[in-house]
Amino acid sequence: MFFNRLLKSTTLLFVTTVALGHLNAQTTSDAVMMKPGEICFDLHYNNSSWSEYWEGDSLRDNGNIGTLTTHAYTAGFMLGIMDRVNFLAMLPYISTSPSAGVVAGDKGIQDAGFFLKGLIYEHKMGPGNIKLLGSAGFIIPASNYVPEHPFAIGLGCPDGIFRGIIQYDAEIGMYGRVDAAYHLRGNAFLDRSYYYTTSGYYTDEVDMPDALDYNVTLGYITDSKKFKVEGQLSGLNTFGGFDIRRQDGAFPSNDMEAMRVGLNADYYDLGIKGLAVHFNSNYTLSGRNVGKSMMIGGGVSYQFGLWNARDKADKSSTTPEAK
Amino acid sequence: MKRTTTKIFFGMLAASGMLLTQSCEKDLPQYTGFESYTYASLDEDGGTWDPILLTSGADTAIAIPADVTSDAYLTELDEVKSYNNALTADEQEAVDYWGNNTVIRWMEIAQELVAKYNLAPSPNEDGSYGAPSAANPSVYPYFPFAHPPYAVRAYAYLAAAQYDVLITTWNYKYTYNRQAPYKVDASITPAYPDNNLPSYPSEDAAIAEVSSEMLKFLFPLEVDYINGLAADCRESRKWAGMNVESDLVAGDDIGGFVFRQYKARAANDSMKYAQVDAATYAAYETNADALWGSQWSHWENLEVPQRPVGITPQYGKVKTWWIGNPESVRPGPPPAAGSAEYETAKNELMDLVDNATREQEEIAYFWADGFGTYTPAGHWGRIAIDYMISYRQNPLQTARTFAYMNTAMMDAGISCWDTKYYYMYPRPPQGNEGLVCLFGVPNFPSYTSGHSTFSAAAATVLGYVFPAEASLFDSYAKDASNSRIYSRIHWRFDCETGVEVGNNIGDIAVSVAATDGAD
Repeated sequence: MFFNRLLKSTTLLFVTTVALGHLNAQTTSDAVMMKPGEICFDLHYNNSSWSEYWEGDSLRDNGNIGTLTTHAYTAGFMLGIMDRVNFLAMLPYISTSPSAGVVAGDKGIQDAGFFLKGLIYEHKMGPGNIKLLGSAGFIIPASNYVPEHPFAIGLGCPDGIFRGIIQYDAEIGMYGRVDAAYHLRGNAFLDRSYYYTTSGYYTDEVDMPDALDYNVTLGYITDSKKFKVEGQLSGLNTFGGFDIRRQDGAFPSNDMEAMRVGLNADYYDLGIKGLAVHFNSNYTLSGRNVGKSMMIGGGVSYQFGLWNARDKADKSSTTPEAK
Repeated sequence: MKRTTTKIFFGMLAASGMLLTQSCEKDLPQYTGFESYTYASLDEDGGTWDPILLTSGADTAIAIPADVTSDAYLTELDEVKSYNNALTADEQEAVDYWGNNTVIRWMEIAQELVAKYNLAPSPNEDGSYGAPSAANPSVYPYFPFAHPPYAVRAYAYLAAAQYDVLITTWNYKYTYNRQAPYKVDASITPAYPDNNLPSYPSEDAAIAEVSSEMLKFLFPLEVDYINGLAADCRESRKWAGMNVESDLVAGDDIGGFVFRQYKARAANDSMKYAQVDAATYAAYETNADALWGSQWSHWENLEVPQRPVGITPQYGKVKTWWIGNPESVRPGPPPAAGSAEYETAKNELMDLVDNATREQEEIAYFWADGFGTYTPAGHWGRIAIDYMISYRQNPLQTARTFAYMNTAMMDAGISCWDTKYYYMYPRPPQGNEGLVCLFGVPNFPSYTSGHSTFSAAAATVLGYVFPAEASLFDSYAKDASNSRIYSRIHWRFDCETGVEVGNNIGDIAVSVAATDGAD
């Protein structure tokens, strides 16, 4: 009758960003652009796990969860629509599994994402170039998954994401980038028609707090443009939401905060033009109502000219950083 | 080129923005919305109906009211007139919120308090668990832990006390027949539909008094919150043109009197012995071992670290309302381990681990009613409210419906707990590798299912009150029962037997209700 609702996957927030952050050839938060007519297919796997999470601001473990592992498999598609506009789409399949307890993990298709990314401004400045980009789009649940599953695969709400990106490329191959996005979130829907947050609600609808995510990135790309490595500090903050109370489960509209440090690398010299492999990782330094997760991922992408670009193949970018 | 880029970019931005803002701008409901309505009946003889705990609606006397032509009354009337068409925004909001059936609002407040306090103690660093203490409610783990047995008892005491209050109120309303302010002075516009219910004593003041006292008794850390609500409820009657101060004072007196009777019952209903220590609990384990012999090990808590004692092993000894000794309705034993019926039930659950449909999961989540919720008994209260409104029940009928439904559910809970700790039957995952659940497993034995027993009892009482809806309520009870199979929290035989026992207990409560004078 009344169940001992175990702590939910507080990887929720991480899971959401799977769709956003870890496409290979380019992401919605970097400064990479493809030429018109170029197309890229991308497969990526992320493995994230935590054995401790923040209940409010208090870090704890939970014997009924043990270590929660999340596997995310994301298929991505990118297209150069015109000179300064790219289209990106992505669809992750996610499964979660706890190492302890008697509650099953969850699995399924999570949120489909659709984005446009544009190069707004580019100018020579000092010993390099400065670029200003933006991306806008949304993710939306692509299956009827349960956002309040104890180990949910996602937040269950549509999320409109509007990002500004500024990057400075120094001629010696170093680059620095800052990006930040506002998440305008629609409501999530539960399978039940009453829930308690800080007061009772007689509805299945959950008002989700909007959020801000941001990244500060320092990177290096070789002269040949064949290898790229970058370090990243990433932050995430909801505007509002409430804390998980002691021994309660997580809830989609929790106040979620996280600060993560990450390392990413890309390698393009695989002997086949357009083929690249990618690596990414991050670790959660601090947080609130999220898991203290360690994430490692890798993937492969294949990029080629579909139209237009075919004529000027020699000028087409073989690597994302090429101009 | 650049301009096109910018256009497309901002076009997409605007489209995404519109898509998302549509749903987030409305306020989500924090109570059942209803327009105040004309009651289907006034039940002028309601003062003669049989109360639950009192002997009659005349157990306490109240002052004879002043005549409506007296100076004392006219002074009070002036106060009410001063509010007429001159309410502040907060006062108007209170009038709209409380409406003309405050019984419903107080049940919702109880549901919210249950949800707030329905959290199990967190483990300590050393793997031990603390226990809530009524003597030190603000020391973690806070008192109370409003688990389903605590919750259904709270709803039952609240509802039964409200019903006794209103029988008493009705008795004096029709003894003194003092008309409402808006009847006495036509310049007063009532906020709610006109009716001929005498206003002395005020039913809403009596309800506010008994409900707030009861909830403060049950949730001692919420005194300030509850006092604020009670004052708001009480004063809103004057703002609405429904009562003068002396109507309210008489209501306060009745509410206070009835609360004291119920508090005395609650102090001696054995609830304080329901949660036992590990030493007392050992006897339950010994008894179960004797009962089952060497067939298997008895039920154990499945959490890590393991909780040493289940929830309220002696709840089966709490004083019942209608069924007498719960052993009189205790079902026969569940199937033995390894029996054909056991294997069938196990295979069903193993199959559901991989093959539960999304529809089955939806039923499981809809009825989960676990931690941080109003529990199954609260869920039935919420269902009942919809029908109380659509059938335009007056507050007396509303209180009667809640009273019989919640006391029947409390008896169902007592009977179910008696059965659970008598048989100490293991939950499905215990000793069955791979039999994993949709959500956490409760900290008490499996047989019989509490959801099933509560729900069948509630559905039976609601089917008696709203006969045209009886089959619908039965189907809800069936869903609630099946939800525990779909989530692999319970065996099928836990659920089916629970429904049988719950229906039986519901019938016993209905047999009392049918002769209370209301029919």
